Amino acid sequence: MAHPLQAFFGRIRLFSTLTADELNDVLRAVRPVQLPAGQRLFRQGQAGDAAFVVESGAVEIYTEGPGGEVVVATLGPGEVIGELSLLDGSPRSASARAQGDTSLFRLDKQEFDFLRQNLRPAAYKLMRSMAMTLCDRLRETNDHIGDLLAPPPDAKAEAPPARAKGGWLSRVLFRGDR
Amino acid sequence: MSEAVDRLLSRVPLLKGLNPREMKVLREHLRPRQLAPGQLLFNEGDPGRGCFVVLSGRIGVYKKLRDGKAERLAVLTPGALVGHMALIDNKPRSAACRAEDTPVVLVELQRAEFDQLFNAHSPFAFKIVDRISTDLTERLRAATERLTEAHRTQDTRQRRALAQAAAEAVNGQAGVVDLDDIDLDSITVEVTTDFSRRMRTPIG
Repeated sequence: MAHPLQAFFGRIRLFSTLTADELNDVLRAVRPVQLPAGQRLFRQGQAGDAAFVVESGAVEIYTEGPGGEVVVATLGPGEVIGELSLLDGSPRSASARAQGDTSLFRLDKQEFDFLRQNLRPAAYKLMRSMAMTLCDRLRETNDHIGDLLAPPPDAKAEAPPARAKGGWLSRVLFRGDR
Repeated sequence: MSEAVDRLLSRVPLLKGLNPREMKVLREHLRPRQLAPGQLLFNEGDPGRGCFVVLSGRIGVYKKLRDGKAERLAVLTPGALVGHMALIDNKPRSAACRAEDTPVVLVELQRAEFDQLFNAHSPFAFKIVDRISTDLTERLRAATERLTEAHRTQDTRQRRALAQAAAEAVNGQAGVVDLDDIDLDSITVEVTTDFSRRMRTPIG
């Protein structure tokens, strides 16, 4: 019998390559979370121990730095937050909080690791999808490195630091800058 | 494949700890390739058809800069993995790779074969995806650390050095590979003999 959340999750790109059975594996481990408006979901720098999917409402992703707070994205229903932390639990690169009253689904890294250790195809399909995101970021990084290594147009003048094109790398490199 | 090749493969950080059954699967899907000094392995922008392990010689990783010149980002030596992003996504090569001033011997794992193994839920394929994911995470972390420092410094020489360090993090050899007890010359002979016996022409 299909899990009631199959239809909702099946439309999300990260989960789109999973079969119904594989999706069930994941959904069994997913838990609902309710956040009142303004409540923080996680903080920049905290160890990443879960991924989230927005069910209703919206989540603001923001960075905190010497220049103050910068909202870098607002994520709505069907969007995934923090999935890369499932790979290695690395510190959150930004903070997240509920914009209005928001409900989400939470997948703990521990649950994901259990699927991974048991060689469940669901875990590896998700991992491959996440690795695709990492590949895109590495390519973006490589392109930016090329820009930094290019000789300046005027050999005498100092080249201004090249701002990174693309959203993700700019956010990482200039976190908190105004 | 000989014991020497097996031993070398088992030193590749991404392949360490594969059990005998998984090594057998790997060996069944590896194709020998060889390059003359300076010969191109693949060009920036080419479709990514597979990944390679360097068995002997040196591979240079080159990126085209906006002035059209190619900058060498890293050098890969025996035990290094080349082009493994091709096993994850289907996007064009982000840099060119060519043999440096030596002939190069490699083995190739083609994406199409790897996909088949993955879709059949081969534990070997799953482990490789796991390892590659960890490797990519680490490269990205190291590179963004260097680039963040690069953007904070006003010193152009230091900025360039940090950019080069970031390039090495993205494109270089992950992990030191200790090959002192492996006869690389015998591997070269063995793989090139096997190569001519199979009479397979290099593709792409």
